[in-house]
Amino acid sequence: MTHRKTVMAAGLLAIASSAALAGTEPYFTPLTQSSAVATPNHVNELNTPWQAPAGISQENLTSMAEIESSIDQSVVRVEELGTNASMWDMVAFDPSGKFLFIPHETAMGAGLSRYSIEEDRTEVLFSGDATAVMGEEGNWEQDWGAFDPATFTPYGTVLLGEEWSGEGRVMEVLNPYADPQDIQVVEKESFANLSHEGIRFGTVQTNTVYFVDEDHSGSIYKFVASDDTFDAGDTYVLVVHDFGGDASQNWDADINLGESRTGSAYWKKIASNGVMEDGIEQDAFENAANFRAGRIAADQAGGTPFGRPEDVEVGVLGNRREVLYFAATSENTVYSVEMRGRDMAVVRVFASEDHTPKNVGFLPTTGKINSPDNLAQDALGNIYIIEDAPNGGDVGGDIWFVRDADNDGEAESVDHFLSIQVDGAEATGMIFNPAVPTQFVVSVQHPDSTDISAVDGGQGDALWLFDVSDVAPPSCEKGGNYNRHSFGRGGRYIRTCSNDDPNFAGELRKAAR
Amino acid sequence: MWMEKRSKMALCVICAIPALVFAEPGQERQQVILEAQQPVMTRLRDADSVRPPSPEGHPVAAMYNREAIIPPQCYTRTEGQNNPCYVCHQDSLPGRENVMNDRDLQEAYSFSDLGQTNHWVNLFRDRSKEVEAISDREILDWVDDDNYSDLAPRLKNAGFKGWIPDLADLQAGAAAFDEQGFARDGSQWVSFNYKPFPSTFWPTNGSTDDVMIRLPLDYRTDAAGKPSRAVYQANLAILEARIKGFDAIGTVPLDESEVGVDLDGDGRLGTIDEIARVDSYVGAAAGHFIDTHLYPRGTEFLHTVRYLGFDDSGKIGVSRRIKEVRYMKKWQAYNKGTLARYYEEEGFEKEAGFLPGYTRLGDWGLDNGSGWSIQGFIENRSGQLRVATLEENTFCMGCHSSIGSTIDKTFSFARKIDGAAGWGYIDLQGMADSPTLGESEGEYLTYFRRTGGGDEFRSNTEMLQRFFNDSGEVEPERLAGLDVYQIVVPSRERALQLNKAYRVIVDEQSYLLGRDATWHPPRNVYDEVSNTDSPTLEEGRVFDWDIRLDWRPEAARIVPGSKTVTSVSPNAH
Repeated sequence: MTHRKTVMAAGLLAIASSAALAGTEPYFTPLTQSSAVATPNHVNELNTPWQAPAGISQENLTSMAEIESSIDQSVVRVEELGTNASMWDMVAFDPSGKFLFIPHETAMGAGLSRYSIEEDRTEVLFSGDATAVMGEEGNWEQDWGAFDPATFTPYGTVLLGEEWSGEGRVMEVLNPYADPQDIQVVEKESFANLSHEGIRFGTVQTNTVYFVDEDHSGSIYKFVASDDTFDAGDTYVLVVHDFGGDASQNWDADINLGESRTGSAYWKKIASNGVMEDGIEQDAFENAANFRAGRIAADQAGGTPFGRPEDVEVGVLGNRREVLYFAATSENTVYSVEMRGRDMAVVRVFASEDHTPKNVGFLPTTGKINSPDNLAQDALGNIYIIEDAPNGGDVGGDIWFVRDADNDGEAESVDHFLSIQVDGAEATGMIFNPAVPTQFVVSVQHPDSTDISAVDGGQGDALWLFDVSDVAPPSCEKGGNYNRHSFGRGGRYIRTCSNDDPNFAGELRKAAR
Repeated sequence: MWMEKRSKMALCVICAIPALVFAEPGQERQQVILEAQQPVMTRLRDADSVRPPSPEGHPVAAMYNREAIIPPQCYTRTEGQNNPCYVCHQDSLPGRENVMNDRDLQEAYSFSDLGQTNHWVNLFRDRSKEVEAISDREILDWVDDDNYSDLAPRLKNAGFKGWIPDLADLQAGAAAFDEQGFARDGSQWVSFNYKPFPSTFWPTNGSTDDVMIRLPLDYRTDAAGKPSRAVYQANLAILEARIKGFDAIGTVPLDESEVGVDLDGDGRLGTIDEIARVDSYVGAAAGHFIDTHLYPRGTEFLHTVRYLGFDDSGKIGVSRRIKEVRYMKKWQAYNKGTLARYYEEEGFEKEAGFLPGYTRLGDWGLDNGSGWSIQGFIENRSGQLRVATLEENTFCMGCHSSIGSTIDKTFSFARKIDGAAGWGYIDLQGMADSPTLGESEGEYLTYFRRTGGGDEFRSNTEMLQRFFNDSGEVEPERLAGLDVYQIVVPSRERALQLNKAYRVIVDEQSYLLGRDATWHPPRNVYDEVSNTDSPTLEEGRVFDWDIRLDWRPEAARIVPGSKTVTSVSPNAH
């Protein structure tokens, strides 16, 4: 199957070099149920943490156990935080596909580790001194809390955002390839202080970066830069025209129930070069441990509240317009925001438990979209939804492929892609390799096995590499349930089902040209 | 000798789980449940090893009741008026680590879909015939047996890797401790005298209990690393002040020179009975992390739940036989911010519809998610203590993880009699019905007013007869002059019934269906609760409450010459 692997990789790579497109039909046969969770350090956790469709491989890149058994490696482990001692979250790939940057979402002592795929080696680039206390003002000068998002910037630095701990800051690693002792970290003061959970740069509007505030009254933000390093520019918050509720209240507060949060919207400017607009009293850039300044500013500006916006992805719709996807965890919904010019937008339900069918054309699944958290995007523009589960549950959290083959920002189906079976864990940080687009990585975060006082020899947080090169595509059934194709950019024909493997690979190769 | 007694009991108590008798209509579901769980109970009944038989399949998936953390009391039929909920469900008080903020559960039901069904079907069973079949002599002999002493060797022989009982003679109750509460065996367990939590832990509702605490080695040794009782007692007092949020606390007489610290702040080292400097531990633990309302890492609690025992004079107290040994250890010392995030995530998971789940720590039991491991030991059919099953352990987790009124997930230490008088084995005699902080009337009197009964289900007829009039209103004068013992200890007749009723459950090994010592189904309990349709408490029937007590003498007084309902039976052993 090497031939097919090579062809598919080349095809996806070619697509990756241009702006991502939104959506194809599924290229795999979806799962039909979620996994059962096994005990800590179960053989499944050590060998195959996810149930996956036929032909998709998974291999362990590294883990807490591996790193901590090597004197040459290091990783953040904050004492007395048990299973939450390391908290590998939304990793960033560098453009070469050789390095992964792992943010640590620990309550204090948060930091960044760098993993070299070629060397199979992890080292801490920096971390806080773990002296600060979440939610309390104090020694946050030398400490950070709950780094959740990590993303590579277009100009070669790495951004990290504090979520539920720390002061809601965004930090920037200026020289991410340097030796740890030379690493330079500065606060990115142009970003509003929020519970940061997703940061992504525009692909069409390349001077724009989008981010969200994980809260029950969380808003959607963008920063439009006037320089190359995104230090100067304007900050906006998304306002849905028809929303007539109270922006400062939770999305599901009585006063907001029944209020529309989809449809026509606009970006309301709240600050310009760090100076707040008239009528907005709260400085959105104030560092504070016990509140999030940007949230208050957005409330004052009337930013529409959503139910815990978490991760974001930026793509392109069939109409060539930029689209922002964001997961609203508490709503079991992923929204799409189509950009219409600089200031206008349209908000749609992209996929949700309540409104989107599953596994259309395939055997049904008993899985449910439950707490959609992270998002990922492959080189063909397909969006994947990663659930915040199972945590303490016994039914595995899932990863869903969102089928939006007509590229209109509203999914035709969500297709059951992966299901994790690790005790006490959630999947985080799914991201495709920008250099080898058939590959993606996912973290196992806070499994019970991270608490080595409870699980002797525990595997702990871990990073896994998947490859879809050898995936068994669904068969094309004449007149049957699945005989689908998609149109790629420029009307190219992408066939995702196959009656024989070379044909499938060929379709992908053609699509990638 | 207890093998001999086991044989005897096997004859007199049911030899198979009886034909299931439910008292109320709508029992078809309960019947089905009981029959479905028969294989589980049969396996437990047939096993005599110190470890329970493994379930078939994954232990979590094998659970009958994934919502076992919801205790039976939560299914109380409040009729919009009677509120026993307030002692568990409260909003955070300033400075507390507990930010569960679940006072709204007094006002509205918020169960998961699964939790809206009451799985404690033992509550609905009429077991009066089985209870009648047990004679007074049999149950008196039963509760007077020692089933504790052989637990440790049996666990060791089984290769048990968790905590193994290390407090000698605990079955003897008070005799195992000196006058200041220290275990006589040198194990460094310290007993303390606390007011039982309303009302499940009142003897009149089924059980007696005791609680011991042990601090880690650093807290028991001086700065040079030498064991020091004075240092230990100082640290226990400082901890008591921190847990209660006090700036000063009484102590047993302490020689400051042994501790090496001017604890009362009078500028010299002398013998003291109050500690005014509670911002730091002393001895080898000096400099260890300290904060209000938090125990230090490594703190252990030992809690035994017992039958109602009778001494030679017929007085009711703890039995020699132990129903359950419960052990907690604080493995991780999280700060308040981290704990706040735990509560937030707990809320997220509940919002997402996940059923509760806890990290399994092997022989150490379950991790409650905020630093404590919890492992229980419970009687097997023949009365030997065995390791609790996952489901039986899970029963403990709700109260020790996700209710708003506790302090660092614990109950009793915050309810200890303040200062020196509170060190020593539990003794309800002479203990005042002190009010909780912020209240003016006795706590139990207040509970009667709010709950409309002497138990959550308003089904304890003896308490109703003793303290309530025919209209169901509490008559405060009937409590005048009574100490806690006199209020919450039942008559001998009731005590025997309670013991027998629980004995039936032991024989059935039906803990997963409920452990309440009932023989007739309580009146005011739902078998199904609807989050949307079941009546909720009316405005004015929702209350604030602080788990801490106001022990000042002026807050509550005992009138000498009190009356008692307990009596001495010539038939007692």
